Amino acid sequence: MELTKIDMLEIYETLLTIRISEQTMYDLYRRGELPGHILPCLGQEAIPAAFSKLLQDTDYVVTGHRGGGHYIARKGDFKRLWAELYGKREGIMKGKGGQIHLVDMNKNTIAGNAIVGANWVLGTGAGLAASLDGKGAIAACFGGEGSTNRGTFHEGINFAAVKKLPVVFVCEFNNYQLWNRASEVLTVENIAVRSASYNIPGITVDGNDVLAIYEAAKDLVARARKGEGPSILECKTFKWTDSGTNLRLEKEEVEYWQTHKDPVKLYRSKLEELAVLDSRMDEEIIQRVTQKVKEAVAYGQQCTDPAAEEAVQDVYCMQPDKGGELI
Amino acid sequence: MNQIKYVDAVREALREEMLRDEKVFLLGESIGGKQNGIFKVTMGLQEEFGDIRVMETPLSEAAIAGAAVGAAIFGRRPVAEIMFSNLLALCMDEIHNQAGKFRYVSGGQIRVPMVIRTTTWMRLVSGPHHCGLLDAWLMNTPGIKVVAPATPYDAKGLLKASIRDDDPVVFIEHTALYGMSGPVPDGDYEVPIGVADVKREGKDVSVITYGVLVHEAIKAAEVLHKEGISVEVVDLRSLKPIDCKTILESVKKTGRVVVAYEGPKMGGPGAEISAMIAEEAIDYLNGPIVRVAAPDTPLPSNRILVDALTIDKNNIIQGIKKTIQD
Repeated sequence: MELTKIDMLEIYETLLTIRISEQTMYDLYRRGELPGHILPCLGQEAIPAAFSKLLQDTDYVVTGHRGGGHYIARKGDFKRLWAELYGKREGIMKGKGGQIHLVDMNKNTIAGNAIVGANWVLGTGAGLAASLDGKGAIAACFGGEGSTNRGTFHEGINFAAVKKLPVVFVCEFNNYQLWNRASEVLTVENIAVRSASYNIPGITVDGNDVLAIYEAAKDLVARARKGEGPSILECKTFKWTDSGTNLRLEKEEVEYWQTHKDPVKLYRSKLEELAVLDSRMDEEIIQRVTQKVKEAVAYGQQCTDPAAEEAVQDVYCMQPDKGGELI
Repeated sequence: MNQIKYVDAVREALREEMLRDEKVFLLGESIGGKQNGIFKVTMGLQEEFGDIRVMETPLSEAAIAGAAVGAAIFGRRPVAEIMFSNLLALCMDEIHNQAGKFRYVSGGQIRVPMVIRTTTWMRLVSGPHHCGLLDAWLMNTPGIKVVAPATPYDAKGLLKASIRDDDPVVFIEHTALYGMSGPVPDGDYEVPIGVADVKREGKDVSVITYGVLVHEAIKAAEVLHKEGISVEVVDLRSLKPIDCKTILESVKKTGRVVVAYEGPKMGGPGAEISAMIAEEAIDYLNGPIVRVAAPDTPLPSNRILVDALTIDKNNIIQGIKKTIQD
């Protein structure tokens, strides 16, 4: 599928929504206004934005850390996202999950898992469900390069390859595993070479270039839909924030990526070059997105705290009719 | 009622549930082909249902359990086989952190209707990595249910209930019971999860137990009957939810209690049960709560040493005498 101008603009709006929402979240968190633990996807937004035009609502998305962009790209409930970030009862997970375990099942989306690497086997399971259903759905499974050092990466992808499951495994190579450089914990430069172990395609692309990701992913998604099995897509990117609030990443390195490799700036220039976007339209989109984020933040702020008794709800679906009690 | 073996009862439940609901499928290591499962439980099922619904997997416990969680979340009803309960350690993230927590962490959006079938293989001499049980570890995992039937009737009825349950269930089969026969009715039935069963009524002492030790407790009761001691045997059947009501009714009636379980006494299922009885019924007790369980060791690969650590009717008899004499 070739992208139309409208598609390209919609991707841009998604990209901007992720950027502005995640930046707002990060700023509020640093000021102590948001509770819990957050892992923003700032710097990595091109990947969810590109996939937003490749996946259907009936497809499955499973991510590891920094999945907030995927939640937004899947059009997960935006206001309830912000209520969740504030830990409120109206949150998409009733305040129980928080930013690092985002789920919107109306969008078949698990956009977070705080066990690094759990995504690789869960994504395989999503692909298995899609395969058993036989209706042409696929699973897209996202995780950082650090998580590819878990055994689950091998177990999940080997399983998917053996069973030819419709999964695109996407490595969001963001250069740091916790506070270690990728080169300190990997002996290969590219994760995609690991695809040779499973006899499946493995492609490395510029993970900050929306259209490059789209083009590469398009073929892998089509391949999965046709029942030809899984693949690995490696997107080279950079996380602008580390795994806490202490910002121990090299300042110059972060600034280099922000100045020269900002996925939003790069995509904006590209759209201007293609005459898809002009400055007036850009301003309109920025204004619209800013307003949307502002409204969602305001909504989240004024939502209600959960009551203490809700702490013991939602553990089980089915309570026994007789005999033992669960909680 | 037909007399059938425990292993056949498990297989019948799997087969009937697969016929009833096309969303049910099986996955595990060598569960089809020539082997039909390490203990032949799935004999003939791949032939009948094909290699997609009876899916043989790589030797990858994390992928088996993780794929089951993912497939369950997105609408299927997987029944995964993990050969030995020791191997649950290889997929404990998928059970403890994923299957057990997804519903809660998603604020009730997610259902994880999956079953992990596994085995306790305590009485054989295959050593510490094949023999053992992680029952207490599972009980300490919020969000999952744990079932351990002792008879063919309970095995079939509880497995059906487990497959139909919308929560993740770990279903523990005992290899020492696979060859045991018992009555199983024709047609469909469920044994509800979370309901204990008084397998033998008595008035002097209650033995609270499950799995293969139900049968050892009944043997102990028969021996002590001749000595004039009347023993009640409560088969828990489910470890979580645990049927406190039935346990307490029995204990309040007899006033004496022995809790018998395989595996280390330290932190085992009996620790929880004993504490619950002490909290809820201490005024009814006429003797100490006695736990009959193994020392805190791994299991060896030598018959003499294994026997030294295996709980049987004699240990239970000693336990009963201890609570009566005190």
